[in-house]
Amino acid sequence: MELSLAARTVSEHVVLEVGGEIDVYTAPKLRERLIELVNAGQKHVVVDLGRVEFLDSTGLGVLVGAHRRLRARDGSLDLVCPHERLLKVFRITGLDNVFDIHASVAEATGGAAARTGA
Amino acid sequence: MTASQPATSTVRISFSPNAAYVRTVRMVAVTVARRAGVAAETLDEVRLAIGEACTRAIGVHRREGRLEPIEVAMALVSASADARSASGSRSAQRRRRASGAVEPGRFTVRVMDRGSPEVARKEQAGGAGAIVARATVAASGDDTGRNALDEELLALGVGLALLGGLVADFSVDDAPDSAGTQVRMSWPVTGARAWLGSDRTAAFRRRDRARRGRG
Repeated sequence: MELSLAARTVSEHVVLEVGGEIDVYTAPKLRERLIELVNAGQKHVVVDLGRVEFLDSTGLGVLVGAHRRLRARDGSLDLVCPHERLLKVFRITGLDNVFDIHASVAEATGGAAARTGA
Repeated sequence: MTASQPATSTVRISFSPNAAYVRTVRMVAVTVARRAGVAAETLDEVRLAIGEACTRAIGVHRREGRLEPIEVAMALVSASADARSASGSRSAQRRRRASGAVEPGRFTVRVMDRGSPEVARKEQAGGAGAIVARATVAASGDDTGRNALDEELLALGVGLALLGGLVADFSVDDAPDSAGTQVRMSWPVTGARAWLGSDRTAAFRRRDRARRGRG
């Protein structure tokens, strides 16, 4: 398996569930999909990395790029990452200070769900 | 190549600078590392680090328009051979000499590109941390647009930060023939499954004796 992408809407968020390996080869597909979502007017994007087996610097670069695009439009990018293996990658690079990283999709979208009374 | 690289214990991969092959190299590297005796809990780091080194090499070739293959050399270098090796970092050599212990050797990987060593030095002049810090500022929205960093440049900085953070013995140098640069990294092996002739495990020796007995 290389990379799978599936988007669904959870209250005011769009949750992009990513599976497989995000590396120099597959990261462009993730970038394209994120740009599509931003261009379609999605402001609050959650990237669910729960089924990601591998994440490298190229993938991190794509996530930072999406974060920047969304911030420029007063949006937000939240990450769901329950795996220590991937969290380590964020910590080593200091990017754990850039992203809001959640343990579950419910946690990442919970604030919005509470606000809308869902 | 330095004379101290034991040819019999080396696995080499040569691949076109195409991102599609990095996954293949990662898979082979982890298999070779496991066989060399690298601890199971270290294999994820080996996978990530070798992938980062290959990704960096592909970036170098892409930026400089080079189509030559990228070379990956994986070897189990015995402690004595590595101490003689010019490619071993001086601090690592000092550590090994100071310890005085007989090490089963180190799993050593070199990823060699054909990029300009001058360009590589300039790229790293600011340091991985500086690149990531600039990207972080941009990402936090304080600096939208004007100084927006190319994602590829950011990935380069993040990649170097990852390599530096993951691998204790890591260096970026000129390639041995000065026609490119190389990322060199090494990991300790437990020795239990070392496949160098001089480091054969007891199990290997037993099997050899049994074979000789039958022959």
